[in-house]
Amino acid sequence: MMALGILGWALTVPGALAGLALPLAIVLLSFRRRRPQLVALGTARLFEDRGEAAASRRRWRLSGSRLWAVVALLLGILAAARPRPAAEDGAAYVLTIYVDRSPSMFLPVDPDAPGGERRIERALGAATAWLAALNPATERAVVRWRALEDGGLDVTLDAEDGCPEELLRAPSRVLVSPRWGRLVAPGVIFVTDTGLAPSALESSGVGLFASGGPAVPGPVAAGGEGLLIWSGEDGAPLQAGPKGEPLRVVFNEALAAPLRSLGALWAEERGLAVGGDRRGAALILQPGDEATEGAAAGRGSLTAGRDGWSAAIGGRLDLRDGGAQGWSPWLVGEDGECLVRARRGEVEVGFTEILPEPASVEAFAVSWARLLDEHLAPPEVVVALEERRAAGPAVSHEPALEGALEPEVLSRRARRASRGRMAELLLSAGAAVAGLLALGLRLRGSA
Amino acid sequence: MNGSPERREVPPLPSPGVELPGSFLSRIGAFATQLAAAREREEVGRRRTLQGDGQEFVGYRPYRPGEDLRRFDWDLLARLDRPYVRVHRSEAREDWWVAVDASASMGVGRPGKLQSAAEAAGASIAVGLRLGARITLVSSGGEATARPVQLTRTAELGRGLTALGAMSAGGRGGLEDLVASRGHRAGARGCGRLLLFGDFIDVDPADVLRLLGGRRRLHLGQVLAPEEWNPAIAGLGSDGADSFVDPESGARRRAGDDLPRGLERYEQSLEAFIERWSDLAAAHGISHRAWSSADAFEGFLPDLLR
Repeated sequence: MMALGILGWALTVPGALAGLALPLAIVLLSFRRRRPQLVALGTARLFEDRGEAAASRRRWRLSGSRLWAVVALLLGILAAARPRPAAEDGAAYVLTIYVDRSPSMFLPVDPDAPGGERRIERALGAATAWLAALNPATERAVVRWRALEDGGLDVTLDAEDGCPEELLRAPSRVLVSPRWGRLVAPGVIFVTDTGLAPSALESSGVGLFASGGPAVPGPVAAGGEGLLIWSGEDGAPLQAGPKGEPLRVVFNEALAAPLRSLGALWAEERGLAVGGDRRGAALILQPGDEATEGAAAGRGSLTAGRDGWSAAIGGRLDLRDGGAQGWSPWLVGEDGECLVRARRGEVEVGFTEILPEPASVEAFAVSWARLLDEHLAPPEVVVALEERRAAGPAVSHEPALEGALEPEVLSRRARRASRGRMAELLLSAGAAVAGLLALGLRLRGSA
Repeated sequence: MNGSPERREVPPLPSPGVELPGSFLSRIGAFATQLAAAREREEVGRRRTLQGDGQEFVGYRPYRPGEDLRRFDWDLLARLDRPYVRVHRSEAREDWWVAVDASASMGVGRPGKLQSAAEAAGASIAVGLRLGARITLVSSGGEATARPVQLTRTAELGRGLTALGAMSAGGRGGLEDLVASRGHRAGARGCGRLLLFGDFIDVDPADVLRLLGGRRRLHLGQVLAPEEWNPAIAGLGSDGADSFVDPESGARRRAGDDLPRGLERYEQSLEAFIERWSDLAAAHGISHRAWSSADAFEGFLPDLLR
């Protein structure tokens, strides 16, 4: 909106000033020497000759009613121009950009160029290009970049600073696609690969930068027999890949016996090899570090459980530096201490003894098997079939900035709008009073 | 006139001329017949009449009880079985002096004041000729110098109407020029009736009173335009029309800052002006009527000529 500033006030509808031409014309016409309309009367001499000189002077000034009419017009036009106190600072917007970091985002945009641009790079590129195009004078923005993963990146930068490099690195474990609906809010921008429904975008006002992209064929699963390959066509049967080294898991010898037994059964059930070098293993199940003496003294046996099982736990170990490296707690004791943590390809156990309650042995087995399944890390080339599907066309939809104003800016604007409305009201009232005055003078015939 | 108003060019007059169509002749003929008959009836009763014991036979009229039986027509009674008396024109014919103001101020109004005055004068001449009067028609002002027109017979009425139709309002000389002029006054003194038609704006009442004398009858027909009676109808104040111009002097006057008040003062002045002439006429046995140029002469002229 183009605003015209006058004495600390801005006219938000400067076009209304074109209306000033009317009072200006009236003023100019009032200075025109008027040619009097004459009425010939044989009895003209019966009129008292009053104010001949005054009449000639009067032609050079605005008469009372016209003066007030001009004042009414001026005030009315200024009111129509919607005056507001001039803004003391530019708008500041707070944007939150949620970045989808599910496996599909790290697939190549061009299936034929595996090392080329990835979907996440294209989507983030579109978002950062839009941010860079914002006018710093009028659309200053700060951006909160958020990776959609537990403990993921959450950093706030100025719009012109671009996006954090960390977002371009694949997460340490497989993430599911975000549930965008719960994230909709003013000033939110989604960076993903698949465009959302446009109507939903329009109604919510969120921004969306989606890379789109065709289906990417490739391995979608790995097992003891090797890889399963998807051709990229929906409905096509998966093809077995060339025979290679089977997936292998490593169970540490120091693990509690029930866990070792469970792990062996689980690996056998999945067709996985057990043992061997840690390097290249799809999953490592291991105990934590030996507890320090002080820490060990304060720890006794305890009972813990989840998913419907409970067990007596002893031989406590330390699980240090959990969150920083992508670890997620899986089993937590009553005192809040992490007993089992996991990350992609690794499960670490903070005890050496565990004895499940006899009544919950089945639940114990299912629960641990699910843990191992979730953190089994197939080779990086394996990406789930759903992730490899086509993401459709690219979408760039800018967010509605008005709702993303910084609260302080919003407050200042509200105060300015209030003062502006008061000024409008006063000008309108003044115009009405002046208009009535002009009308009254006119009716009295003194114009 | 108050002050010394600026002299400026005079705008064109709305109705400077006179138009007397053919129908006017029949109008004044009917009017003259009606008025002359009424006059005969009145004057027979009063034994003071223009018609009477003269030699020129004019006609018959019904007998009224108490009348002189010497004028009774026995032959007509025998034939019609109804009483009639003979009417003769008096041998002592009366002279009428008819003066019409044709100054510029008479060109005001629609219809114009000069038009109305000419119609009234024409009808008066027709009545006078019907009654056997000798008429001298004079006019003041006018665009062209007009010489007095003498009319002695009814057949000369057309000449009189031609002279009236040739009148055109203009110049500054009004009735005052006629009544103050020695030559005109001398001519008027020989007449039994003086009829003056005009607006009497510039006439000095003293000069009019000098015309009186003996059994001379004076008739003052004062005509004003509708907008002179009510200047508000001239569109005053609605579109900047707030100045008046005197057609003779070119002097301009304003109604003042307060137009309604100015009009009110004008009406008061006009009322006083008319009353002054009316009072003057009543005090000296002068017949006076004031009318609007929009009025038909049939309405006011009988009273004026009575």
